[in-house]
Amino acid sequence: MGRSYFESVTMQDNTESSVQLETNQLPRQGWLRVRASDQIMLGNIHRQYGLRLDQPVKHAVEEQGFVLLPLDLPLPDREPDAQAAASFSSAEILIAFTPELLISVEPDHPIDALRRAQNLLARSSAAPTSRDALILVLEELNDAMQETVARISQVLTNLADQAVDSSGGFKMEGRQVGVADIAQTAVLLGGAEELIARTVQGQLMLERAARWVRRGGGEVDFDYSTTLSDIEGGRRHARFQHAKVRNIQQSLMTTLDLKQNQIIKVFTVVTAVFTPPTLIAAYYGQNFANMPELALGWGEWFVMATTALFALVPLAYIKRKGWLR
Amino acid sequence: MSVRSITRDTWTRVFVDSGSDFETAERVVANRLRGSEVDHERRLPVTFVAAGGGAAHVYELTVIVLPDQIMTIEPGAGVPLLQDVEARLQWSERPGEGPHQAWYAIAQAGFQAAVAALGLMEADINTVRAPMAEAARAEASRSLGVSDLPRVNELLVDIDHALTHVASSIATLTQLARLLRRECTVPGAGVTRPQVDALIQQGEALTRRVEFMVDRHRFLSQGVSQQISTSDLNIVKIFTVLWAILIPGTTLINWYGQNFEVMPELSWEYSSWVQILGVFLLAVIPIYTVKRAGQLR
Repeated sequence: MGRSYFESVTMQDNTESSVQLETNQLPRQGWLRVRASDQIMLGNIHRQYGLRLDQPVKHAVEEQGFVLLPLDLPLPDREPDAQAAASFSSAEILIAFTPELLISVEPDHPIDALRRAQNLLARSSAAPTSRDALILVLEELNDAMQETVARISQVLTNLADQAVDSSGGFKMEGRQVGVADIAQTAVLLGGAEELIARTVQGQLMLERAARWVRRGGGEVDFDYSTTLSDIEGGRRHARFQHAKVRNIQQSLMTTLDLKQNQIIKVFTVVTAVFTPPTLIAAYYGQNFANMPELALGWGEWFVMATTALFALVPLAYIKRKGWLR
Repeated sequence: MSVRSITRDTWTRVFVDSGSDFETAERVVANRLRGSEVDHERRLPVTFVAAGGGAAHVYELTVIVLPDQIMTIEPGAGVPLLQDVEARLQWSERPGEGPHQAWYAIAQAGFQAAVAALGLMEADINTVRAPMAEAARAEASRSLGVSDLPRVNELLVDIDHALTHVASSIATLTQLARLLRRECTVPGAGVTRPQVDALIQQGEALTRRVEFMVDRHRFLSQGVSQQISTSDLNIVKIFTVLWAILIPGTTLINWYGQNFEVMPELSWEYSSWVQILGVFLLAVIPIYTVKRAGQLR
């Protein structure tokens, strides 16, 4: 790492340039962005604030006067080629804040939302408190999550089309769909579902973070209810996508069931139709001594005709009733 | 490709005709952004669904929002809805200083279009039931099969598509309104917070309406497939029962098809007639029992 170990954002001097600070001079206020892989910086934080940020945090906790908020958000990858299927990567961000200082431990890949928040803060004239800054960060992250949901929605639209195509709708001509045909779609659906679940979880984490900020009390410039309602709106949309996954899955399974039932139906009908002729044929296979028909010259032709009749008349009837469709 | 500025340069419409125009559009956008403020731009893909001529038309555009202006990148000759918005804005008496009025008007027009499109889909959903009811009535003489309802299935698939587009349209428009709510606090915006709140509420109400329609759609499509599936199962049941009924007779017949040396009944005089009677009874008695129990209905 040739550059500075952390991208500084002290809200006092709103400069974008990185400031190399001595290890014993970490800022007392402002926003400190640290990379998760930056062990030296994390060590410095531990030394100065007594805060261990290199261990995974599962729940929001208070430690050494800091509130620690873990966030795990699936964010869309920024790829130049839009043709590629949507891909997402999990961004694990650990936020630690006091009323004066905001520390964010970020993954190594750059997160657009955080850069945006930093720029927004840099543009504001007054020095915002750490909680205002955090709310801004949460808003930006929520916007990024909205993008995730929008992309998932697109993926699901494609999947729904694929499901209709692979199952062929209610059309029964040509090759029938089998379990193997929809396996791929089912796997993709499972993936989408997991992604949505993680998105909803991420949104819940954001919401919880926003609530923690409010719990801090004191004077705050930003409107929490707006942020909370924005996050909730996003979550509602994500849940709608979840319902959509369920719908697609259900319709896929129903169509498959329908087709398999149909195959069973056709074969049952055919088997049943051929049972009476079998009965007749079997009858004349018996070894009774007194069976005069067996000696008749036209006996075989007669039985053959009866058998055909017994087979064809029920078939015609069944066909008319529409039981073979 | 063409570019048009509206309401004192706060709203720029970029019309992109073909895929190759996108690069030019990017350059125009970069030019408009004047390089310095690139970091603060927000790009939001927005979908409009407009009902017209018995069909729903989907327009996809990109909205770029900046503190002092808004840009819409539209396909072809532009989205008709936005022409109306443009006309209305140009006739408005007190144009605001920022892009907020245009921003508000775009979101509002989008919601109105979504309402109209939803109305159309509701009418379509209501037509799904009729062929189903008809098919169910005709069932007495002819059972229901998959091939009876391809039209219904097509209709349902179409409605599902349209609903998907409307849902994503409403979601993006609500997001647009939410962004506006954050930005409209600046003085001279020309749009007040309660106005935007009302717009977001409208978006949420529409979301609920879409959710309800999706529920209804699911109910109907499940109803269709259940109806068919029940009919199929009924046929399978009838034939399985009939088939099972013939089995005892077949067993009896096969018994005398065996070639044991000593089978004295074979040579009795009326044994074959007794045998026929036996087979007949073995078939009729179970049919009678099963029918009385109502298992053949």
